[in-house]
Amino acid sequence: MESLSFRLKSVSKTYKNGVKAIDQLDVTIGAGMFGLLGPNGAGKSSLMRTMATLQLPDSGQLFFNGQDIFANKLAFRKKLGYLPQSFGVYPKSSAYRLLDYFAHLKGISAKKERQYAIDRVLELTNLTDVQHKAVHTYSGGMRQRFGIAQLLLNDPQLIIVDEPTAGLDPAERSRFLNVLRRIGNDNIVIFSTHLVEDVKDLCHDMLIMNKGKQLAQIEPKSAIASLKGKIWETQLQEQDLAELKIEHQLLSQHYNEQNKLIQRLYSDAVTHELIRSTEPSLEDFYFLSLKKQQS
Amino acid sequence: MINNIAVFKQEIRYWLSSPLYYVLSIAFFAFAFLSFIGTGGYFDGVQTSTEQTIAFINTPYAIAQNSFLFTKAFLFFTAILMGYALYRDHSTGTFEVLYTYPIKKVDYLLAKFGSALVLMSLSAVLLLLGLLVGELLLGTGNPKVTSFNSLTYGLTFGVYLLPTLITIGTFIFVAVGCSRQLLTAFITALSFLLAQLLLTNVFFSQPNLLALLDPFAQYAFEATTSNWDFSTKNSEQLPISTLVLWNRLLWLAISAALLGWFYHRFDFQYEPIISFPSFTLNKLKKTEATKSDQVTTATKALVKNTYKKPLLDFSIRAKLKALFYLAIQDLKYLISSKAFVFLSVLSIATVFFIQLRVCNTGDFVLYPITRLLLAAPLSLYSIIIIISTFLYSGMLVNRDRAHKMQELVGACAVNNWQVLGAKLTGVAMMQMLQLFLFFVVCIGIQLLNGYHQFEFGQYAFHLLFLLFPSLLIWNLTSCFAHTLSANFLVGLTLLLGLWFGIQALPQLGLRSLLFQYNTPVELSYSDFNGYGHQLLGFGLNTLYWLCAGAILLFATRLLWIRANVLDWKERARHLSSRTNTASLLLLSIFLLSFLGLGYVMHQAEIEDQNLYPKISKSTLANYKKTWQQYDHLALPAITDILLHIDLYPEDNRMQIEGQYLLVNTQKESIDTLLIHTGFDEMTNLNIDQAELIQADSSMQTYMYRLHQTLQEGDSLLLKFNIQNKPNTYFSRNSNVLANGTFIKQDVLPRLSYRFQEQQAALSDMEAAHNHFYHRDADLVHLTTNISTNDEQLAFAPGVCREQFKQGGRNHFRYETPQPVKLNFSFHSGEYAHLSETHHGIKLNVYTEESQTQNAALMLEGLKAALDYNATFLGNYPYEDIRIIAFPHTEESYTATLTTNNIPTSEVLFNINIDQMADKVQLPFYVMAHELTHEWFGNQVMPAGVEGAKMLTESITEYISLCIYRDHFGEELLANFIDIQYQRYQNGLKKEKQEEMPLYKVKDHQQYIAYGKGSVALYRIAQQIGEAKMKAVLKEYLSTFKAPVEHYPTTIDFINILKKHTEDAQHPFIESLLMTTDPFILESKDK
Repeated sequence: MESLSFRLKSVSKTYKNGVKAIDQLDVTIGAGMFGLLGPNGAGKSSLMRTMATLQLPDSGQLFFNGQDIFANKLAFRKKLGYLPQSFGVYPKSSAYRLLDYFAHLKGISAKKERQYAIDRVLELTNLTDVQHKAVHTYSGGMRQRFGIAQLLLNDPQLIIVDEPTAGLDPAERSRFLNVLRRIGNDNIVIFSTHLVEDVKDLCHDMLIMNKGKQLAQIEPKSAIASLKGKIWETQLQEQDLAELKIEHQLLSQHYNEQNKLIQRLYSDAVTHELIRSTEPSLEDFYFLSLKKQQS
Repeated sequence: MINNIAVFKQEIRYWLSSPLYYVLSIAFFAFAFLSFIGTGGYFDGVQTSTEQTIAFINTPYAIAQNSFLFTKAFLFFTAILMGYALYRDHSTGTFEVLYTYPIKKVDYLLAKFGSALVLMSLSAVLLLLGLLVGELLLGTGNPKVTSFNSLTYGLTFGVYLLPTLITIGTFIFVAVGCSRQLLTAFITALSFLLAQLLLTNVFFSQPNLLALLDPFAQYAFEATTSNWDFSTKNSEQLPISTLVLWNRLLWLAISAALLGWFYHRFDFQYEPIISFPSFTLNKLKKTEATKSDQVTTATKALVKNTYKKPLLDFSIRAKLKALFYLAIQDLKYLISSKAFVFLSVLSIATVFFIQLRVCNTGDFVLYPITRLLLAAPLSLYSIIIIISTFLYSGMLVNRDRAHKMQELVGACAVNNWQVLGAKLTGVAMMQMLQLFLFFVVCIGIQLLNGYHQFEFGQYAFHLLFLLFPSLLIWNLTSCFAHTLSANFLVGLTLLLGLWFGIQALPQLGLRSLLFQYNTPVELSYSDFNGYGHQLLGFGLNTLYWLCAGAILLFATRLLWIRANVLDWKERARHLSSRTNTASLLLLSIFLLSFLGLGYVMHQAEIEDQNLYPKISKSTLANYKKTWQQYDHLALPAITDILLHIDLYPEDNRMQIEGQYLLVNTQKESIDTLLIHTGFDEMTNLNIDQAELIQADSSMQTYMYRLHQTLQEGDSLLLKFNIQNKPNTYFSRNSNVLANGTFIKQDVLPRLSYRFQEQQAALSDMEAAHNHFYHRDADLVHLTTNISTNDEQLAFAPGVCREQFKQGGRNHFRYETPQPVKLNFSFHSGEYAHLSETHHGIKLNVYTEESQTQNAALMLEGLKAALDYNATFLGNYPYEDIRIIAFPHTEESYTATLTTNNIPTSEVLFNINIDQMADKVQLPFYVMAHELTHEWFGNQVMPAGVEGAKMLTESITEYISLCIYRDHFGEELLANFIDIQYQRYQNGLKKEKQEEMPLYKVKDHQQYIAYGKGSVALYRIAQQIGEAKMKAVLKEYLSTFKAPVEHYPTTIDFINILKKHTEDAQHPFIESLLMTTDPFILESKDK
């Protein structure tokens, strides 16, 4: 099996309203789950759409297995599975009927092949039992699984899913991520999210971006390891904290079970008596990347 | 709490900041303005003759008539404003938030409805302003414009335009409010147009009910003005009759009730009041479930154990298969909507009733022959298909985006051309389905009428090969417009703007076919000749616009919006990736073909202009100035004619060689000949011993000086040969048809100035020396050698002396046994022949094979006329009579008598005599009438002065009444008299000049000559006795039988009538024949 790679070379995209959605991105992605992490407005969806050939970059090139994807979009789309952040369906159409529709669009011409492919993706996404229900009546999670089902029809080598877990309850989220895990082994799965947890659980590699810029591309494990001994936790008052922020990087604050505000700090060394060292998390890396960009 | 003012203001602000509102308002202003000044001749001059006959275009009557047309066009705008009022909150999703706010539904609905109403009214005012500005621009100096009256515009707006818009606007508002679909707005607007047509055709015999039910109040207006004559229409203020008021009240009340109902049902709920489920969904579910369950069981093992990659097939065959599948899905989507079903049912019902009406106009019942069903009803139905195409094509192009599926589809490995092709094919299949429904209605109408001559081939050819290409071009255009702008309303506006714009082009002086976008060349079908020569021009024009459509298709493919709507910069960047050598080559071929065909069409139009240069006013004035002085020039008379006519039906060509023997019958010597030749033909004149001294080639008038003066009684030969002007793509410049040729004497050269002066006064004794028909001949002897192809028969006036085949052609020689009136017809065709001998006279009917239904009744008419007339007028002078059918495309009249031939329109063969048994048996009556002309029209010819038509048509029509009565009885006669009287009354209403008394009836006043004349003479006959009337007619005939020195006038006839009647009866006779005293049909007339 050829080794899969997806490469972005100096890709930029600016919208008519002046918003720079993608700014000189240089990324190489290999087989497996790849997380694209960034806050709202980071340019994740713009990047996803560009990677799915739905919009042209202003500059730069995108290569899949060494081939410029915009040179022959159709050839690229044969290997692509894409699930946008939000999508709708023709009302009153069943999942089976819609999947049949998409199978035609994806070039599965023979009837038996179509039926086989549809049954397989229904099975993979646990939708077999509700295949004849109208999709527009599905719950959010079922709908997202339907989205995955449609992208799997052509057994794609590159799967792009844009914030698929947004709005899902924990059970559905877990079910959904399991589906992604099952399909992510032999393919490239590019998976955007603003939830660090999703990336941590799933991805072997990730890109953090904000305001169109690439902040870091790193394996989640390495990201966490890189912060070993540099993350600190405390419960300081606002006044004390202000002093501390001069020398140390405040990454995040959250309330604990006693409704006490806990601060997490980044620093090579801390001597303050009320500050204690703690285990780093991927979230710390993410916030640190954002803070670095701000500063 | 939000009050209604906030919502109202927001709505008004939204539209006043929308370019679309201004574009549409200005477009309607411009439409009204340009249409008004175009009608006023601003672009190409006023085409009117005398002031008395000018219909002013700014009278209250005309403005109201205009407003009815504009109201219908304006419905599109109404649909946008009223439909969008509630739809906007749903399409943007605002309703989910807004409906939770503390807002009263009365405030919300009033604000929405009120704001749309205000905006709609403003634009409607602007529309009328377009007319008003047009009126001011033309000014009262324009002959078509009378003095300005501001009240006219106020009444038109207040009584007709606004109430109609409020009514229909309310329906649209409620329909969209219930369905939450913008399409419903347009379907509702279209439904009102169809509903009016439906009502028109269902209630045409109940004018008051129709007037009440018509939502546009157009029929209330027409019912109120039905008695208005021409001058009243030119002067009176708009009527606000009780009928109009009731109509307005009724519809406003219905609208108020509907609004009330909607208010009651509306409740700020998430779900719409009325949902539109798919018709086929449940059925599909079941089928799929059964099929799929089996498959799932079969493939589950595969899923679990071995995994096989699906086989992706991107071959052309597979892509086309996918395209077809997608097209079917699109078609299902369109036709399973309730809106489509509703529109289809309504349009088909409308067409059904129109078809019924076409076949039965009330006065006449026609067989539901295919050409009749494919004519006017199809033109109307094709408009519905075109508008459906605009709407549904927009829906399909924007379908994925409307359902937020565009990114899913856009990322699939499907070519743009597949998706685009599927949408085009889906709409094309919808159009096909609509045509099929039309076909079903036609067959249904034919079955319903017991007519079983189903011409499936003609249906297929007309619907698929003649109409469908034009629909396909609209399909391509529509797809292009909706691709150009992803905004459905903008796309629709572009399309309707284009469509309306094309209709207005001729008024703007642009008449070339090169600019008439996708406007097919008009076709008329005859059972004899099919579509004839017109198909050539039609095909060329269609190909030209198909090429334009193909270019648009290419442009659509370039601009196709895959997934999301992109800005123009990015769309432009896609262009290069969407072009390749093959597509550029294909584009070049279509572009070159378009230009090439355009060039050919342009050349053909130039050729037509050269062959028929436009006769300008100044050309006409110069001609009259130069030639009118010769109007009374002494000229010899034609006494003998020899013609050699060769007809070539296969290429619509003819060649005529002929000669006239000209005899000086004047009492003075003649040294000059004034000749004009057939306007549509190329004629060479050859006169021995004469030279051409003056010529006007555009009016084809020539003057020759004779080398030797022609003394009284002297004669000379005028030789000539005639060819038709060459046929072009768009004009058949020959009367020769592939089948059913009908040529009249107007192809032959005549000796006179081209235009006859206005009909001479009755007192003009000099004019009475000439008969009514022409001055250059009294009676002539005619010999005709006529040839045609070997499959056709050819006819000329007179007796057939010889018939033979030579050189693969049929040759005939006809000769008139005695001199006849110079009123000829020549025919060629493949005919079905029916004949019968009656008192030694052979009666023949030559007609098209499928049109023999009425032949027997026609023969009955001939026999009855022979019997009636021979008893007191003398025997019929020929050994045979030939009724020869001609295609309805060749002449508008029903029949005429040319010596012993009766050229008869094929329409007379289409009359459904069984259905008309209790009305008038037209085939019988027409033949009786025409044959009677042998005595009154041929044997006795009236003087060329006023009243001539009374001596031909009134007398003939009276005798026809008697024949009819003798054959069918008094009861059917009463119907016939009723029809004649109505004909007179209807004609009176349309009369633009003063009504003339019968004895001075003008040529064009047929309603007097036929309608009043027949009944008046019948009443006189009842008064004086029919035997006495026969004696009068007999004496009149014997006294003035041609040739005579002095041709009879109506005074001569009335004198004979008075001679045979008592003095006491003379006032009655004079009242009917010599005055215009009110003439009321009394029961005793029946």
